[in-house]
Amino acid sequence: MDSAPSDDWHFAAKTDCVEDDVPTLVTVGKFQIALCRLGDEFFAIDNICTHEHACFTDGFIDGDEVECPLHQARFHIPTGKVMGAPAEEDLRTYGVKREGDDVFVQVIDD
Amino acid sequence: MSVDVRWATKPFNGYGINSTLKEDEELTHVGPETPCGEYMRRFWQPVAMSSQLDNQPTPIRILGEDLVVFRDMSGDIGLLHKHCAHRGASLEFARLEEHGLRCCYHGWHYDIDGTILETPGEPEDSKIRHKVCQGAYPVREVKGLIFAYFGPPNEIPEFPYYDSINLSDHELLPYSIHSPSNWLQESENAMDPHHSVFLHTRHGGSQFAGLEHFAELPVVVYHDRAEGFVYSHARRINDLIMIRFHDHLTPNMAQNGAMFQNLAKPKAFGRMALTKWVVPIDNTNSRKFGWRHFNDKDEGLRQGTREDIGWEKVDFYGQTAHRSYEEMRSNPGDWEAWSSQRPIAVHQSEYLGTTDEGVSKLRSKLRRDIRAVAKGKQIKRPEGTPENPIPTYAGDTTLRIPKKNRDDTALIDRVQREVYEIYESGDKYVGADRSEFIQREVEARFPSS
Repeated sequence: MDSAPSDDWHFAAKTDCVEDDVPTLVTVGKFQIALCRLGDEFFAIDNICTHEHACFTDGFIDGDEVECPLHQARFHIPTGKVMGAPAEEDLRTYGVKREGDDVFVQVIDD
Repeated sequence: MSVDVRWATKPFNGYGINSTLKEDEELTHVGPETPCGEYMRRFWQPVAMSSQLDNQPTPIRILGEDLVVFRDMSGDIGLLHKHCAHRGASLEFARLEEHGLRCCYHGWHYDIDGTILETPGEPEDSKIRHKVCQGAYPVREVKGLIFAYFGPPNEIPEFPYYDSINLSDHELLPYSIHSPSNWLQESENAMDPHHSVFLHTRHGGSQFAGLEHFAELPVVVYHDRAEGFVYSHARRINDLIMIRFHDHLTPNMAQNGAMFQNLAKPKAFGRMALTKWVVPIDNTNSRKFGWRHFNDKDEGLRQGTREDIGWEKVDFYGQTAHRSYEEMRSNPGDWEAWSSQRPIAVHQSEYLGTTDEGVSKLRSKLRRDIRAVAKGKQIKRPEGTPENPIPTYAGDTTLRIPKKNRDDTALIDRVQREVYEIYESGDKYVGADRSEFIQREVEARFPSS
């Protein structure tokens, strides 16, 4: 993390603006990111399901998984791993850091 | 042994699809102590039409509970559990009294709040009447509909007063229609503007006079609100952009724009034709209660017919079971669509697409709120009084905005968002002040000439 150039990090949200039952949309350039809160920890995943075009910000968080609103595919929020069909591909995850009440996401445009 | 295959993925492959998929219990089961039932009991719900009340108690079933509703001899309305607290005889056979009713079996006399006023067969010093009450719910009668609150008494909200209940130039006529299907199916229909293109227009010809432009695919914009959703769908017809706004307040209240209208010229902030709730009778039956709005301004064609509105009827196409099977097959309407999704739709077997954004948004919000209630959290409920009613948005705005040399879809999308912002900025006003403000602002932003 220390070696990452500082311009990869983007302000995402104030901690108290992130609800725990639904992901918060963060847009960085062309990237649509779903910022998720699990207790006091924050994680960032792609907002678009790998199965069909649907936004997790229209879905909801259940335990440490996010469920897609269209076909109920489930993904593990900390790792992006598929946990339930019909999706087969894992989600991209993004680095997250906190500085006080601010949450930042790391977006490396490769 | 069943295989977990939710959809066929190859041609001629009906064989082997999992036939044991279950309904989405969390969103569809509504009885006492079910998660959705507990959630729905946090809101005032319409349960009967005033016209159902006569000189005997009327048996009804709401949220899986058997009840009687009645107007006693002094004019007060009661809503009691149907089975007498004494021996369980149905109070539909009770006699109406000056206050409350009297069971036919042993004469126990209940007030409208369930208090026992008399147990005539018991000794004079009997304490029974001080120990027991009949199950009862508070009610409110508004413009021909009777509403009740079924939830925990300490969480009862004020009756939510919507602006649409009292619009100066609107006449509200109550109606009610049964569907043999789960409440969510008809409710989802109201969050799905795309079905209008196919079911109401392309499939069997235009079903609604004045809404022929529904044949065009709409550009849809959803706005999330704490109490539900406002969404709009818009289409271009020549130089006009026709925008239709809907309210969808969770769990089950919806409003939409005018019927029988003339949208061929610019107008701003037309109001709703329908205010309606889809109320669960039980898991596999629902009953819509609502008001049909009459006003000559929005319904320019004046084809609405008051005598066709009431119990089991409304004055536009395809809303009830009371039609021939031939008609249903040749030109199916809303009722056929939502009733035929099975008694309880099986969400796991559905393959949703982009037309179902509203449906999936609605299901997610319901699931979040149902879980919040189950965890003992407070959820946002609509709040409004006759003096400061809840501002609602349903209705039509038509703007003269010629096509520009760029992406018209983006233009139609942007215009809808701007109009919505103007609507929202009018929330600080009430009644005619609000309409005038919004109309003035829309005209200033999008001059009609």
